Amino acid sequence: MLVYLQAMDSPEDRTRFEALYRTYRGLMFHVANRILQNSQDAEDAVHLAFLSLAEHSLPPELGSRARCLAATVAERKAIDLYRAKQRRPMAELEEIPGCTAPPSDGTLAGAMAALPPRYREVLLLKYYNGYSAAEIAGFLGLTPGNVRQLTLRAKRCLAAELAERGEVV
Amino acid sequence: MRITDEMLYEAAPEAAERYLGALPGREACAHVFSPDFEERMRVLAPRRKKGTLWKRALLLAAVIALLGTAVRAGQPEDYHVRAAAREGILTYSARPQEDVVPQRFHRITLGWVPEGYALWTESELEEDTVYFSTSYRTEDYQYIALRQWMGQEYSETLMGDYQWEGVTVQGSEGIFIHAAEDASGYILLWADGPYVLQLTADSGLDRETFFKIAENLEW
Repeated sequence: MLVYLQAMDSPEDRTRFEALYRTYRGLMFHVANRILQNSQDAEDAVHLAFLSLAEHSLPPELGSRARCLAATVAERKAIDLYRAKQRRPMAELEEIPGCTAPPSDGTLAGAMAALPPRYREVLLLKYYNGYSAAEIAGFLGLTPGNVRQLTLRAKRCLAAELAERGEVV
Repeated sequence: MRITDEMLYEAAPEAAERYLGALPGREACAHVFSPDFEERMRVLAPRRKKGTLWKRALLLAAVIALLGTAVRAGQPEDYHVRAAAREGILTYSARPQEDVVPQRFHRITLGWVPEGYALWTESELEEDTVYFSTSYRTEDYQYIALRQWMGQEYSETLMGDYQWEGVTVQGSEGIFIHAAEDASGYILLWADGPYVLQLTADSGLDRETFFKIAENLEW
């Protein structure tokens, strides 16, 4: 297991990782357990999330960006685990418990927050956390090509949502 | 109607606030994690020991002593690769000699990986790249990673029951580090010309397979 520590590039990375772990592991468990409805599975998801986080650049300071990253990666690992356990790899996102999004209010920000998890995760990590497609792919277990494709689809989804509401974008 | 990047950058903070605002605060998320989870995470995030001053002084003295008595595992052309272990502290390093000449970076790749491993992450090569990493993993998160850098000093300290030995990798001398009691992970550090290379893997591999990967790296 020492390999995971070695995956971190510097003592600063390890310090960031440890701070992230101590501050957000409870939140990550909450996010995962809301989806999986099972403590043991949720802990597995949190563990998987930290394995991904150990591999990549973390925010230099704790705060909303670090919180967003932690919650997003935990959510993705929980959804992946849920799908695997349900043997429904293509389950529609709205069928997964705990993924109810806050209602959109017709603004772009509201529509972003109300996107299906996969789209929201990619957009927040890119436009809020500032990660590249390759980094997002690493966090979420995708390929960079998948991330770019999801970004495009998310934009189309947002445009359609706002057009339906009569917003001028 | 088109959603631009600028619009998304502008809207993202509020979207994040809405998403995060729907989640409970830290106090409401308190959870007592299971011993199994704590054990798994212990190796990822070692507990910050509330060391007393004398313990810290002892650690510092041990590290200083190690630096003075380190055994060189090899002396490749451009780097000193060293390792030493004493009283539960293992230090290892690759230090460039003074006249390492920076040059265009040529990445090295894994020419062979065991069955079941697939490419997971790969850093991006740019004009001024001096560092490159690539990792492979299995579906159940067994893991192999290769890191390569040029012209930079690298040093590391491991605390715990680890052992090292001098080895030869593709004709270059290097150091091989492993846990003393079990095969819970391997580290191989060596230098080749202007590059330092580090191959790591976890408990999914045996030693023979690990070295086969190292011997099959391709430029």
